[in-house]
Amino acid sequence: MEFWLFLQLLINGIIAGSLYALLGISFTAIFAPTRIFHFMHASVYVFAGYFLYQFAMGWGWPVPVSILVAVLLAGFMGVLAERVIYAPLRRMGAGSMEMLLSSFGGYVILQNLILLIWKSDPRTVKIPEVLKNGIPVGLLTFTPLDILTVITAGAALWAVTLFMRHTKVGKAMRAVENDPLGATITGIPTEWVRLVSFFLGSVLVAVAVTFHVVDKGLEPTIGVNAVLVATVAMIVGGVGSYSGAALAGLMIGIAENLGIWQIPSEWKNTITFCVLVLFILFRPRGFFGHRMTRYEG
Amino acid sequence: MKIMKAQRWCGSFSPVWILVMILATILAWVGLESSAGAQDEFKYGSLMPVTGPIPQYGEYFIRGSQLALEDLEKSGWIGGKKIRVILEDSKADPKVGLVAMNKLINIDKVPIVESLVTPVLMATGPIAMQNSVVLVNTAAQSVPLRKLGQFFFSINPLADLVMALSVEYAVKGMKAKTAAIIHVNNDYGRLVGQTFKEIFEKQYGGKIVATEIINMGETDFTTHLTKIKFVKADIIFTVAHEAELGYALKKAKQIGLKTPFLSGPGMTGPMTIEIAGDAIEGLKTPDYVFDPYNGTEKMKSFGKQYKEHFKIMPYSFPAFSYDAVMLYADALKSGARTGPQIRDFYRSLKGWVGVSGPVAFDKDGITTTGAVIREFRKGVFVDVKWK
Repeated sequence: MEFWLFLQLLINGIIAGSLYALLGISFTAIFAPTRIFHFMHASVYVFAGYFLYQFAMGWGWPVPVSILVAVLLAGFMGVLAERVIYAPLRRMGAGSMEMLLSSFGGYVILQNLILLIWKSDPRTVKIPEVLKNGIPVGLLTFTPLDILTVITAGAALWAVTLFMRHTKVGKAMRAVENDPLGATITGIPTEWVRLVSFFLGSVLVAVAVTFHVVDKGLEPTIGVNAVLVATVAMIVGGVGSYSGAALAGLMIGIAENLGIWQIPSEWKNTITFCVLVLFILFRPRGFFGHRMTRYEG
Repeated sequence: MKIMKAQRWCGSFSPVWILVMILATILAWVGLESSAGAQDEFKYGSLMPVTGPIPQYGEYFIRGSQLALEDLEKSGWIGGKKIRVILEDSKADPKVGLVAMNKLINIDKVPIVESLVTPVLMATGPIAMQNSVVLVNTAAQSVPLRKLGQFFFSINPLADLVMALSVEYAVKGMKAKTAAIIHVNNDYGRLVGQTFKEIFEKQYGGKIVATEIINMGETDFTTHLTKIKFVKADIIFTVAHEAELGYALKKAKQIGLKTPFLSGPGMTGPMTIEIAGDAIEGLKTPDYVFDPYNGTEKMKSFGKQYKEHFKIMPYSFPAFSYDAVMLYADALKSGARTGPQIRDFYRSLKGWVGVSGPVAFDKDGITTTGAVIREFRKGVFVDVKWK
């Protein structure tokens, strides 16, 4: 019986970790090329969820169409944050701390906007029950939605890797990440690259929240935890490494679920930060990345 | 010299002085207005979670009290004087509640406050007692509330009474020998869960095989329920709030967990049904006697009135709030004005029947009206005949 519980928790960990992987990749896509700690990523995450809720449940649009529009809108929200907040600050010579504080301010405003529009009641988006009905395999159970989550996270990682390696924009993003000044000198349109980074990161985080909303529902405060997990995944994976962030996300998911096998469940979130502390102490560059000092300033 | 003296004299009427005098006049006028206003109306303080993790409870209060005020208006108020509800948001947070309670008592000077949420009541209760302000509970269930003091009254029964019934039903009705407990990580969850455990183990010889603690507002029950699935409990007793129970039921169905759920009272509102979907079918719960479908004529009439206003059938909590306001109105009609007078009226209450059922208080100020066991069958909760 203990073995089956272990196996079930491992499966649960892989499913949760897949979403964490998506979060890690999304945050890396923004932080690595722009070096902005985009705390408003939490707002984009929550807004994408509420867009989906509004379209699907409020206005009765078909769920796939609602998802598509919500994901695109989230992408544009990210772009808007860059154009309206970060770009003007950058022009005024703001440093990373000013950026972070502005981002946090933006988060507070958007958080209150959510409360104003949708109130703080929990919301759910209904999808066909067949996607959520458990498939028993011996003593184990998982749902088609769980399988879809894992496949989507894997596909997203694959697509981002291809994008970064084989497209002009992806290569430009890597160039800006490696040497922003050099990239500007060689004629890479860095402002444009930043916009693409924000769009890509926001789209990915919207995909992650879609799975959260249809499975676990929606309420205004879920964004903070998502950003914390995303940050931890990015640091543990090694800043700048997309596969590292994905692997770290997966590892955090598994560690959380296996951890609560022996310790009470309320400690689940603490496990995430224990992983972070361990990595900062013993492997500060994460799995495959560079030291955080490279991204300072 | 005369000119200089005149200048000094005029100097005392400098713009600053003029401003001070204008402000003083305004303050005096406002003071007169408010004291005149105080004579025209009775104040009813309310400290509710309008925002925060459980805003639906604030909404229940708003709706219940709104209907009570409408009915009082139709009947000509209290000798023509209206009741004004002063609503403060506690966010279900004791720290926020404390500030709001101080405002209600010291600035608004209310003689009575209706509130709920155990941690908020435990934090604000002592201030209400010290200031001789009546504190009325319309949802919290923790047993230590009994000891809050002589100005505390609860219109809903507390966990000691309800848990005795719940455990008896778990053992005799559901034939449970083992149970798993899921409770929310606050005073309410801990204390109600503990009461259930004590009665289940000490009085009936049952065994609690797992205890899972969740955060307030939790939506992900995968790991908690997975652990419970493998310990094979006869029942899962859950103490949380509406949304949390809804998500737990939904996830239990998804992971193929067949163990029946028994919830704590007051957790099965419209939100639970909406979130859980068909996973709520078969849920057993101790519930308050209020039943807008098959209850007394008063209950059915309230149900009809509520549905006309809000397009949904009511749940116990709006009925409790309706009764709390009506009870205050009756106290005022009897001539009670101050906290001690209202307290005395409440303590001498006999045969008072509201829309939520009969209301009479025991020596600790807790209603003596009990609870019933209900089960969700085909879209509604129905009484379970098990004795």
